[in-house]
Amino acid sequence: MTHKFTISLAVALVLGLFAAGRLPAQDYAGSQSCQGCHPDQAKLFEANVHFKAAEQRRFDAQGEGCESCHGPSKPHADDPVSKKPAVAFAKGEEGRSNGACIACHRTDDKVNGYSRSRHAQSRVACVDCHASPHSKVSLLPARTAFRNEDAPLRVVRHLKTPSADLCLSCHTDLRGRFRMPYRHPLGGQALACVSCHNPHQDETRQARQANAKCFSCHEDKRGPWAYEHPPATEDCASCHEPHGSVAPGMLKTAQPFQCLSCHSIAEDRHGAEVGGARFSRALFSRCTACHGAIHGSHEDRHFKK
Amino acid sequence: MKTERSRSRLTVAAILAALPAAAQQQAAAGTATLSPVSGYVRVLPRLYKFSGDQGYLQRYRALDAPNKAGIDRFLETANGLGIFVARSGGGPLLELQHVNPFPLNDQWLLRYWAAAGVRFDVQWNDYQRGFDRYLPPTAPSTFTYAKQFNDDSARDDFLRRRRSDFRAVSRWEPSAFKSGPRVLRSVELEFERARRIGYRQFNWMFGIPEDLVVPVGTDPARWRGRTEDLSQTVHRYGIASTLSFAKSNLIRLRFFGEQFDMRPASFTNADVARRDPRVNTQPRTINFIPDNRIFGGEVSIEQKFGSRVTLLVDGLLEELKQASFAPLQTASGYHSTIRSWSTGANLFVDLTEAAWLEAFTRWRQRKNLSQIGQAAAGRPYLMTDRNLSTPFVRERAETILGGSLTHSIKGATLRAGVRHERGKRDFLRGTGENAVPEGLTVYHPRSTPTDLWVSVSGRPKKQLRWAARTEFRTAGETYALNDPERRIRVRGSATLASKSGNTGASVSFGFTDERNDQFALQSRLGKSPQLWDVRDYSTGVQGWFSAGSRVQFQGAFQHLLRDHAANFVATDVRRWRPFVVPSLAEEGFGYEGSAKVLSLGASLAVHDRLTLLPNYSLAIAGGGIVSAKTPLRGYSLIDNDHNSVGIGADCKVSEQVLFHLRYEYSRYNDQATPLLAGRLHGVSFGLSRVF
Repeated sequence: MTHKFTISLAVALVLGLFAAGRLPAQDYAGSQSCQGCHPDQAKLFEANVHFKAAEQRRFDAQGEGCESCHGPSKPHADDPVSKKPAVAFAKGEEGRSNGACIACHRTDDKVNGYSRSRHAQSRVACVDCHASPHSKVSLLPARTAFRNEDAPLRVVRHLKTPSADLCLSCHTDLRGRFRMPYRHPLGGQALACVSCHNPHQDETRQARQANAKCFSCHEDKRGPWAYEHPPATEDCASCHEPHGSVAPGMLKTAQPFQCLSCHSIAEDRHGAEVGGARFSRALFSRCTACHGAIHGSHEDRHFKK
Repeated sequence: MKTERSRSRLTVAAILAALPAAAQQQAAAGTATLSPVSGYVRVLPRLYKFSGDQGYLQRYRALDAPNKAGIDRFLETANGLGIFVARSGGGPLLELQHVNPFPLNDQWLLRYWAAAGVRFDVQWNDYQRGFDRYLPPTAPSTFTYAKQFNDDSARDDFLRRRRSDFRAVSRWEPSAFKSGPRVLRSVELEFERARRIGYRQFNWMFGIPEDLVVPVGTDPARWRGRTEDLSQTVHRYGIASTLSFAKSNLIRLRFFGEQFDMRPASFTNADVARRDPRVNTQPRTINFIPDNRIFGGEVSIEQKFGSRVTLLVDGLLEELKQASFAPLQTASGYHSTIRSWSTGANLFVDLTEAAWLEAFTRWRQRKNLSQIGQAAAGRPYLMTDRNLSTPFVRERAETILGGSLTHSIKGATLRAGVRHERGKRDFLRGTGENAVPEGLTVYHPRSTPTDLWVSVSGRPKKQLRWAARTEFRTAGETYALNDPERRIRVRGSATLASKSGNTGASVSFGFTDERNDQFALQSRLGKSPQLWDVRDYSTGVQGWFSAGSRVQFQGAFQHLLRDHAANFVATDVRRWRPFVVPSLAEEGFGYEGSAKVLSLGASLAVHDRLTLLPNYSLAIAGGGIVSAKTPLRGYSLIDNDHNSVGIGADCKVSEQVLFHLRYEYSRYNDQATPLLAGRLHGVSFGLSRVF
């Protein structure tokens, strides 16, 4: 095991270096050395927002200029053919490359936990989604499909492509869901995967219960209600498929089946002698046609509106 | 609304006109010359023609136009503006963005870096939606109450809803560019004001219009108006800080608050009942949202011990207070409080260079502290009616324990984990036997699920990526029927690409099997078992191919299927309530839903300056109850197809100017709900300019 490190070890090493203090100056080659062989990258880097930060050594990052990310690279400068920079952002060293990014981005609470996230543990590197600091982030509108999906790139997010495309390039099993008749308006800049999910952190660190994220947009469903429908109070996903569904309202199944799969139907007011003559309109309609306040009500114990 | 749109258009034009000519000249020299000012502007107006509700919805819900007669409107959609001003040396100074993803939707972002480590963000999102044009024609002898009562009460005003969100964030990092520990690492102030005015009930994008419409063929006397006036304002504020007492320590603190103000509805169901008692049989049923306040704080501490052990500890306390006043009941106010606690710890240990252990625990509690009781007069309590039809969750608490092990070997990562949860609820009203008369499901007070999972993923080569995950769940007790007692889930995907990445293919597969048969509705006179048995499948394939640098093709197909079996339980209820008989009306009462989605696209550079972008998509969605005995009606069925074909052209007029042309034809075919069927033609043309 000489060239593969776990992500955690890389982070520990990077952070451990901080604890040990800066490395001796002789391990650093200096950016001038880099520019001699990599003039194009150096020029693009100067135009990137990271340039200023690298120049001034942000937070606990080590080195200056190129080596603030690439680490002490004097061996590479002395022998560029057989020696790589300390952090080359190459496949197989995702842990080290992630650690280089997080060394500066530690104070950002949304990003800080990335090294311990499921993404990082599955060897997804920051640079798999975010553009390299050597690339000038394109301000050109991304030329993709029609239908308003040709959204311009966010200038400072440094994402390689619009975020929804990035996520769906790996999570391909969800691509079809967003073509369903009823779905959240992903794409078109109205909503992105990151509106609900934080790709940098794990759900084990989420202190709040499941519905908190939904209620941040759907405040009118939050309550508290005098008469509450517990699934709506506790987990919206009990009834809804948030990525997209063939059923109206993004329900997992269409009404009235959705309700009848858990509830019985009382015959005195709904009339449901199945197979006989006494079935009623309750089976022919949506339950929420009458029980319109199904998420909760302040006035009616049957959630009628 | 026209004023708003004009304002947006003028703003974009003014900013465009004010762009420094020098910057544009520098941009002409190409990307090699870096300009301190860069950006783009795009104007892409759209013309369209449609029929049917789906066409109506899919045209981005442009709700402001009398546009049922053809191509008669000029709308701005997908317009954009971005300006980025850099400091000398490349650091950011100012960023301004505007996007216009939907008609009458303007989103602005201004970000200013005052100095190193000091940043201000201001965001503004304004979204207007009209309602009256949103309503499809009503059937003979039916009418739309939303429209009627609006016309009766405020004829000159139009049904609409408007959302305006303002958000400002400032971030200060006093030690951003200093090495070594500094206790105060960052301070962040947040403020948000979200305003909603107009009318509810209302669905967001791609919803359905039925909530505002008297359904075809249904007795209108059964329906009630749903046009409650909406006037909400939410203020959110917070202060957060990051502290570091040592290089191995990081502490994050945040205090936050929220104030929700809701003015009482002016149009209510009571108004409907007063005008036409036939219509609303329950005039007191108003679904309004009382004012409430939320405040709380959270803390997380990250502490490293040596180079191998990291401990995370966090805590959250949040309290919601609500003061309610029902306008139709004199002095019928009450106060409600819900308090939520959460605390957790995660321990990460680097066992070896290739193995990593994680252990975690969390405890959460949500407690409703509201006073509950009965009163002869007034309403000082949360509820006046003890004959509740729903279980009321007084308290819910969960304890979660788990861990995972990650082992990385050459080209692959193997992970396995376990998660056990012990959940407990305390209900105001018991559930079970007495729930039967009201047609309720059984609701347990305890839940003890245990989940085991194993995942393996690999990237043996840059061009090959694969992953598989399987989960198994078992539970001694679950809260409700739809909370599975047993679940197996398998997912997998693989992607193989050429060395250049220009050609490749990926496949994905997903399967879920979940079941719960531990619930039964029962009374003294009978018992009927319930069943939850779901199988969910997903298969997908996609590929992309480049024939040289000028021609690219891509395509994807996905098939999703849900097969759900249940028991249909009816309760024979007599007036003498305790004597009820739950009976299994139909075994094998099922539901099937499926969707097939195909999309094809290409990018064809027919000339150095001209690129064609054809695309086609097909989505076939179907579903509904599968029953041998239960009489069905079309409404419970889903049967719609969506065909869409489009072609776009991008013509590069110069290095800075790109001309766009787009055409789309969509056809929506809905057998179950004919009102949804229709067509949509869309044409848009415009240009992007980079500077």
